Amino acid sequence: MKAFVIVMLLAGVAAAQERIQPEIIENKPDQTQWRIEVFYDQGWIGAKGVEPDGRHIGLGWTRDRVVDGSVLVLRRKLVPGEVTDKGHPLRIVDQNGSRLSEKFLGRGPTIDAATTPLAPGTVVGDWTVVASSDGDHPELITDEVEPNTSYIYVLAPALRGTPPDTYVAFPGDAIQTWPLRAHTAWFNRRRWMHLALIGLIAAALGGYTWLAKRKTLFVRRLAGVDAIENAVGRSTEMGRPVLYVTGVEETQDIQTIASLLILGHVAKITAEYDTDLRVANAYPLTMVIAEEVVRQGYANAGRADAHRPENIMFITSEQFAFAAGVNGMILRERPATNIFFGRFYGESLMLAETGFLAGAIQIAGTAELTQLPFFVSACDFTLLGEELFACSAYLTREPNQLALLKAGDVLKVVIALLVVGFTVCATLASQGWYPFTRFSIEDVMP
Amino acid sequence: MKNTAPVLLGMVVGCYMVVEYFIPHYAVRDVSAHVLQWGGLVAAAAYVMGGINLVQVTWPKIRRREQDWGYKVVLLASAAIMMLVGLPWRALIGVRAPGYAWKLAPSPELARRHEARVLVEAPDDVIVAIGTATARDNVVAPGEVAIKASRRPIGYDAFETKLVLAPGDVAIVAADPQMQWGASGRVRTWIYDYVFAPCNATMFALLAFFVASAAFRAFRARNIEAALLLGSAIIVLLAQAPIGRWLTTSLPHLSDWILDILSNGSRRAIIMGAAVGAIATGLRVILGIERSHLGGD
Repeated sequence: MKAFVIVMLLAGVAAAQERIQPEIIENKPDQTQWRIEVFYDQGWIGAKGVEPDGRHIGLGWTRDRVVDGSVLVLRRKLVPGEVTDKGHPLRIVDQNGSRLSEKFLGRGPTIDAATTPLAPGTVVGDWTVVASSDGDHPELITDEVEPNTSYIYVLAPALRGTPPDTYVAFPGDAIQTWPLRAHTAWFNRRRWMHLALIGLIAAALGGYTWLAKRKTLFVRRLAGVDAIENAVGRSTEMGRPVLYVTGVEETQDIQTIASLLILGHVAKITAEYDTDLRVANAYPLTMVIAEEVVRQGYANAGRADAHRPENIMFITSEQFAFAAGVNGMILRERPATNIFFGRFYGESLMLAETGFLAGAIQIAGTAELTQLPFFVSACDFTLLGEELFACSAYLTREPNQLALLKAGDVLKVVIALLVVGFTVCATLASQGWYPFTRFSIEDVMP
Repeated sequence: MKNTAPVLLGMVVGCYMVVEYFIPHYAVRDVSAHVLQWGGLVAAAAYVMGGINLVQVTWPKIRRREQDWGYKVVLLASAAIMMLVGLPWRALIGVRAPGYAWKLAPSPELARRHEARVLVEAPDDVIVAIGTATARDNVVAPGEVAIKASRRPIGYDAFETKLVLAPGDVAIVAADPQMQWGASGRVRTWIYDYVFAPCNATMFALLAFFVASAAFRAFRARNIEAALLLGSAIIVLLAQAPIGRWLTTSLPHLSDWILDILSNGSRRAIIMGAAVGAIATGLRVILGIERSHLGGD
């Protein structure tokens, strides 16, 4: 219910924000007509616009006639209290030439654009070069600016010089915009679909949590997870340790997190069986967390005294050096069970194949698609993709966790329907059917 | 409280990061950027713990003369050496300028010829480029001249400057770029390039043998699924080799069909399932449903 209220509140705030109509200025009828579009926000549907984070302004322009040459875009901060009228034409050079006038620059020496490169980011007097474009630029140029600061932009027709970012002449008048200020918003409209999917999973979670309190939720058997306890039992009988590898990615990687969550359960099982658990980590932070997780696993089993911190090891964050280190452990200590859960890359087969040659029972789990075939061929059990993430819930059988597992299934069904729907839309669009030709999937789901 | 506080903290920070994804306001983004920086700091501090762990795990094995203890000595010595050569020692012993350039009294003879001259004083192994010339005595055209002095091996300082020479000017460039220490220093770079990189490449090369061994085992038609796998693998393998095209021109098309349709469809299904699983795992931790790592069951 709370989630629903929050979603409605966010939607209300977003609806109250100003609409994203581009502002347009036009020049005198006898001169070149500039149509300048300034964007401060994005729409609910459509890719055009800038993120309304208070730091970006989008600028695009077209002219009513084809004009040879480039357009140089400059901006300057508006001095507090400075009054400027609506967009108007102005000269940025004294005479036809390439030297920017002192009056235009405001401060500092005059600059000859034919010899001084005006690359984006260059500061000339009061002005900063934003971009340059060959001809009109109807697509947006996104400029990063300071929040809560007003700017005016100048679009100057220019003829490029031979060296990069130089200009030999500025023919005709430049056009100056009205004061512009980046907008801020409290909801990113382009991400409404993402929010809807999260809302959906939250609603499904609520529903299944309610259901889980009333009946046992069915979860299909995961042979790889069931095998963990048997494998630990085998290690106990053989008097050899269990080796657990948390992958070769950093701690914040979701697969490493999933691996650390499963590690707690494995630690509890090894503590109950009184078997040594060696954990190999590729990053020190993972090692620190893994040690805490294993300590807690032993405590959960009521055997906190049996925990040996030196069994939780930091090997190295270098991929193949890590593989060499773990292979050395496998060959020297001959663990009876190897568990590889987490993200792996090219070293996956080295580890799994060495473990196979050492005669260990091997259980692997990864969502790294390219490594799955290697694990499947060299390990006894492999958790494929989502099974790795479901493993912890499967082991605990806790109703709330199972409910979230089921909620994920609902999301999968919705995504499958969306895939089918978008495929149909894309097919119809490719055949020229209106209105499917008007949008693409990126418009709805960036 | 011992368990509730970390769960609450995790929930607050996790929810904030989720909400931040939908709120573009810069004030909200600034806070999350700071939080991420703190994460980086914690990760950096954990390297100290990693170093301590390395010694804790390795030293007892050396002391007890366990199996292959000699390798542990090499490991500790290598780690110590890399740490020592990775330190910026020059911050302690002082930094000497890599070079100087200055002008002498102008030469009327050169002025008459509308030329300038740049003399170089540097050890033989220092390459000094005066514009495009690398001689020790250079007669150059007046104007701005770019000067760069460096040693060929990487990991040394470089001296770069520009001189504006008038007709008749005589300039001297004295350069002796010093060896750098630290992450980009000479010794660390040398050890990395000539010791670590070959070892790394050797390990990577071993992968070929592991693949051959695993493939030999995997491609045995024990049941229908394994037979299908074997059949697909043979088609794809043959299509990649010249003999495949020689056998029949339709083999590459069949291989492409297997990869693009059958394989790709399954891959996408696994990717989608994994993505949803990742979302569910994230939610479990953020909402405090999963707390086995904090003491719950």
